[in-house]
Amino acid sequence: MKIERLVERIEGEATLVLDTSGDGSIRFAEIVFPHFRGMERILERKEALDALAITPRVCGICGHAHLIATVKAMESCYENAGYRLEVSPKAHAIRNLTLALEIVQNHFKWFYLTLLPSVPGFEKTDDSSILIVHKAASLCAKAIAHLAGQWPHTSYAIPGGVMCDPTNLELLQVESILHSLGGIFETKLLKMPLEESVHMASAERLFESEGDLPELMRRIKSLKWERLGQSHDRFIVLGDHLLGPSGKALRTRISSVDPDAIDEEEPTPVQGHKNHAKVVRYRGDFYETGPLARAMVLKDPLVRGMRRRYKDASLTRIAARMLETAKLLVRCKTILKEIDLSQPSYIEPPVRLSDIDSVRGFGAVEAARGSLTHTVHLRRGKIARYCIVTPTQWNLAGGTVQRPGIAQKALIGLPDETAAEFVFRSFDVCSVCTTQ
Amino acid sequence: MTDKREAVKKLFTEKSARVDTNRGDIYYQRLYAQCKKRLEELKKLEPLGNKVELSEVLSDEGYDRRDFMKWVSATTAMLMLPSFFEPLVAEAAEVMNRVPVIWLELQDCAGNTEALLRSDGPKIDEIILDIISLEFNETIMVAAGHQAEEQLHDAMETFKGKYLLFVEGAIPTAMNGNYGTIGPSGETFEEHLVRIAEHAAALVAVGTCATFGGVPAAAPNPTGAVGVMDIVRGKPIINIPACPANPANMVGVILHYVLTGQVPELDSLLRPKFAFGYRIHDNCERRAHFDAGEFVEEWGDEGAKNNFCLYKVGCKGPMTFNNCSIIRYNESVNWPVGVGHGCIGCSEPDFWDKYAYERPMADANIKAPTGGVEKTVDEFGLGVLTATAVGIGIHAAASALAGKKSDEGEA
Repeated sequence: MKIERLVERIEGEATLVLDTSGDGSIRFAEIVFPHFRGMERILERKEALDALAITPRVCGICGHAHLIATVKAMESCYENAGYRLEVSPKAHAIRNLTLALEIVQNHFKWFYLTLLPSVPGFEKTDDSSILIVHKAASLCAKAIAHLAGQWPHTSYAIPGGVMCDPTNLELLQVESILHSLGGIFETKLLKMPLEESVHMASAERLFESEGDLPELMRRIKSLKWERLGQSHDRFIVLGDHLLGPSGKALRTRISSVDPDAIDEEEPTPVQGHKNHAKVVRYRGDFYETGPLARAMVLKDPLVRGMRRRYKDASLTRIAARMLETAKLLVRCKTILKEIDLSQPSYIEPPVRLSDIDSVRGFGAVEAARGSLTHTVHLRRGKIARYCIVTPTQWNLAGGTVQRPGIAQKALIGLPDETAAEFVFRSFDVCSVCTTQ
Repeated sequence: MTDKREAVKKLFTEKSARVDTNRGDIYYQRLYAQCKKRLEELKKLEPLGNKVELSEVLSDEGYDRRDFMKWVSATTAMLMLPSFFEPLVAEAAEVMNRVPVIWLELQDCAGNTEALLRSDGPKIDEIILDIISLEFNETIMVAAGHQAEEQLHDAMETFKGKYLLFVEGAIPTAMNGNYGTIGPSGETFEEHLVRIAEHAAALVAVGTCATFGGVPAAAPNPTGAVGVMDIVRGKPIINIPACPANPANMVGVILHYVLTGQVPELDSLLRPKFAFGYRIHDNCERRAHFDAGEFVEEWGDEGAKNNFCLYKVGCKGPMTFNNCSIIRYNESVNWPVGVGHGCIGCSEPDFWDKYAYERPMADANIKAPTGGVEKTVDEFGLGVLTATAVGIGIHAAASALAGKKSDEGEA
């Protein structure tokens, strides 16, 4: 039987087309992204730096990651053209901070607003949780605003640094917000000091702890869902990030990545539906990206332990993501302390982009949902071609029955539609990014 | 479509975008009486759904009346009402749950929903979540798929002719609208919008995509994206452009509607004058540096460290009508100019092609609302003196044109 299930609450809309057997279990799944804006085409023929104002508007949730990807792509244009471009450690630190805070707000919201309502027994997230998660998200946005002016859609970073020149006062404000965010994590998600969450290495301990995260994990176990959502066990991290370097993991074997091995295919219609999501692979294979991939490449002991037991199931994905939130919060505090305000915010690049004849640049960033890459071809400072590959494109790439994509593999064999929606949401899908 | 777009551009250069901040006692007293009557009627209605009352939420969350009244004062001022309206604004906030709101997301990035969710003011989170009766919003509601469609249908039926329809995102019209379809029936965004708009009391286009097509409409506009006012006819439409639109202005529009039962006074681009009646430049915290001829010449220079004017690094504040310089973003924490990032004119039509980025205004080929094409400060070649002259020139023109359309107020 063919079932079409519309999925909302994912920033835009997607349709899950499920092919089910007589008992309701899922034989095959395809995902349709029906919306399209044409961002890559809009960028063509525009001035290089116009991209800084346009790409953040690809997405309302991870727009900042798009900005940083654009900046990195432009900066790599300089390097590829043989110029040395300097960015001060201060500017790096500020970019990393705002990027990390964007990830934190996303993880908080994903957990309470997207994931919880898809787990039977948690459908009705209580009002106080909703208020607290909005408070957390709003705190993140405020912290970003102190450094970047506003959130969403800031364009404060530029090739060569950042535009802001914060004083100790702004840094103090951000520190105080980080403290409050840590408090929310400690009192809601995992009831123990943040430093303890970060160093926890045993999955048993996590299961036995108090807080909404372990409670959800226990619920998943009691539903016998703990092994649902296993996929190819192949992970990719294309950008260096706050917690570690890029790399890929085949099961537990870690190796380096080569951006030239990424290939993107034009979208094809799915079951007669117009579909705008491009398919992306690494050397012909589908790879999972996101917090779980980052933890695997980092050899995080707890997540590796979870993977040993449950493989790359949705449960492992959830734990990896929420523990990443704690790690980012702790790391942000350290970075903040290390900022040396006497350093310049911006160092003028040696030439203008319009002085470079023809050049290609590549920028990779780890966004909330995984690796985000921008590739730009510039001719005399004008954009000749722009290519955006988003995390959801990796995770939701459509394959065939014989060679399914990441989410497809995770969905095949699930007992019913409810489980399918849970597994689907565990990837944190963003429709607006996927099709741009 | 090109004709329409040209017409919009023409409108933009018209001289109606001026606001009259003082209409005299007689006007305000009449308005006061009107609002009072309207609020009395609203108070007789039951709150919608099982929404709680504002006062309960306030005390539950440990906020006192004083915090609330601070927010009320700020909001009254933002709506450009005299301070004796404050008790009415407070009452209006308390009966906001009598006005149903349906929120549609079309060709967008969900950025405005995001902005609304972390809206400003001491109690706005609560006001948004518990007081505004948000009957339908795809991104944040729990229901999905067919269930969501049913919920939308119910909301439309129950509140026929009464709901405010907020629209986020542009409408793609190329390829028969096939660049964006929605819901289980797969209707196009245009069909969806027209169907739901039919029984709305008024439409509020939120963000630059819904108002003017926004970034999706940037050249070469691959999907033929247009704004709500290009599609919907015969309904009051309020445009709240900016990318993202400022939540304070969204709440302001709802409050105004609750208070008066009417749409606020609009300019020729259908933007509420209380928010878009003056330029970023008019109230910019760096304005004194413009007048003194102190400019950031390059990012990171001494000027940047001293918060000098960003005009020469491409700030479009003098051309952009919006109130960011007063109400800022993210609970008034900051705004782009506050971190040394010039305004990109994100609330103006065509900003994505004409205003966005670094090019100073003259190079960006923008037609000034005052009629002439501006020159950069350097092109005048006199530096300090001329800069001041330009500033005064703009001001003089603005005051000369003020109050042109003011007799079309809410009365």
